[in-house]
Amino acid sequence: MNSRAITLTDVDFTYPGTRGRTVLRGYQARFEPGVHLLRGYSGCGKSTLLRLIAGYLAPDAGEIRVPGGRTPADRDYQVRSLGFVFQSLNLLDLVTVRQNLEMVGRLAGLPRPELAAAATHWLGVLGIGPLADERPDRLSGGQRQRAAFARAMVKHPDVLLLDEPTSGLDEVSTAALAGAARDFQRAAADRRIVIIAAHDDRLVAYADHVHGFAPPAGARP
Amino acid sequence: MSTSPSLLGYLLRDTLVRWRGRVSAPLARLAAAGSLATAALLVLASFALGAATLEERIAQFGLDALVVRTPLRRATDPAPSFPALADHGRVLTLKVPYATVELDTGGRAALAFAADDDGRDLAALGVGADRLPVLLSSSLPPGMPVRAGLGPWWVAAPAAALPPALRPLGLDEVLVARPGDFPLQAELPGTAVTLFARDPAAPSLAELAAALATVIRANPSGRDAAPVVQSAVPLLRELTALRASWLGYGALLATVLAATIAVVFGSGAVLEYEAAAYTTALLRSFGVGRATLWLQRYAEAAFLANAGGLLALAAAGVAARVALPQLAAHVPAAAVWLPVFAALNAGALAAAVPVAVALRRPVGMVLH
Repeated sequence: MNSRAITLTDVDFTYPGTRGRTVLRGYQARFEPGVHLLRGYSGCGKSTLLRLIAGYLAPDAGEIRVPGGRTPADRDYQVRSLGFVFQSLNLLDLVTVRQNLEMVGRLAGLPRPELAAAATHWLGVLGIGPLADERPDRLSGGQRQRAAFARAMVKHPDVLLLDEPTSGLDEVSTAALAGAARDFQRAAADRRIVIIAAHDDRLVAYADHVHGFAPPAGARP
Repeated sequence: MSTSPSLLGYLLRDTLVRWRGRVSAPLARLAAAGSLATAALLVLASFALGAATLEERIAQFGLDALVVRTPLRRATDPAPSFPALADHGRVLTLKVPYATVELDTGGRAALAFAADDDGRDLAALGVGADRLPVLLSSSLPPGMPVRAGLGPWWVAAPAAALPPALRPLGLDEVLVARPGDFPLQAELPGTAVTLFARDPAAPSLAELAAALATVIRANPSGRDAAPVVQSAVPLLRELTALRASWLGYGALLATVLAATIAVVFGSGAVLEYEAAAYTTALLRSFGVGRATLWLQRYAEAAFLANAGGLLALAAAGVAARVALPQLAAHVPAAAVWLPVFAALNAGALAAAVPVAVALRRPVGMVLH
């Protein structure tokens, strides 16, 4: 068994207090290193799946394993090996863009010089280097999303989860972000897993694997 | 290039920005803690003042002293004797007419006559019969020549130290004279004051007082009024009762204070936490522990509660100086402020419990 893959075995998940809003039932999947695109309509459970893989939610039944054979709740996995970009409100508004990156890097235990270099690199790659010392509330939506990308990648995680990352973005920003995600995976192609949950067809071109995603029969979205 | 803030620095900044954004929130908590703590401090300081006053009276009376006051129609009438007392300690009797004398030093002194003729009582005072009249004084230097008198009768009375045996009388200056020195006052009604100092091996003072009261009741003297037995025993009972009330009211006040702080601070903290729940969940997703985020909220509550307590200390001190100056000295006493601060901190801790519960919500239920 490849311990670099993410595997989900017979996973059930229902949101508590929703009277049977079952999102996953007996779900099986395997995500090898590469760029994966999860496609499905809004509210079908793509984001829930990413949260389960991130360990932000716990499955009701079944088993999830992440690279290294760990469970998603493993603290070291969450802090050092996982990058997550949410749909919105990704940044801490009290500090600058660069400080957002550095805080996450420091929590992940990266040495300061390496962290500073990585922050400069990813901000440059995503085209927001000149905005490094700006506070996030002064950035546009697209710029904020790029900054969130940079923050997720600054600690060089083995697993990068992107939840509707290009929602509402123009072609240029979409291309920049998707290209950056693919290049990030290619930089360590044998171990990095990038999973993008989106219903944006523009992202198909950047994915190695496209997975259709639908809720279980009888489930209410 | 900007410097990277530490996590603690970020959390501190988060707190300050939140306060600045809605100044009324921390001020309301500060005011609640301060006003409640001020009231509690003043109540507890009143108990401390009461206890200190009683302790002072007990110390003045002495824990081994009995005083028997017997009304006399004339100050020179024979004083009653209590031979049973003499078996258990030292007895000293003075006859005190209802009169005071003036001193040429400007003050006044109580007038007293020695009860016995052979001077045994005077010897107990450390004063020989040949030295009468003498002014027993707590303020004048021994040997200082003083003249004391009333109307046409003035005597030379050198000062001597007021002996501890006379402390239960509660007088600072006593002129001990011969009845012949003040013939008019010797004919006035007065009181025979019998001072008893208990031997260490004797029965307890409470037992002696009870026995003496029984003897007095069983042997009516035929006088106009029965002798009155005084000792520190009732004061000690009063002090014990006061301390019990102090403890009870202190516990009640501390409980009410802690509960109020918990409710006021807790409701505010939950509202603020919910408003910032997304950012908090984001920090958790970065690997910040729940304990760290809880500590931020607890430290905020503890800071405001203790700051309110310090303001209350100052406010209670000022209020006491204005209303009752003797009270002011008791506000900073540990027995007063310690329970108040303990209650404030207990309230702050309880106020952070709902946040701890809210922090148990999975990150994935908050972030989207």
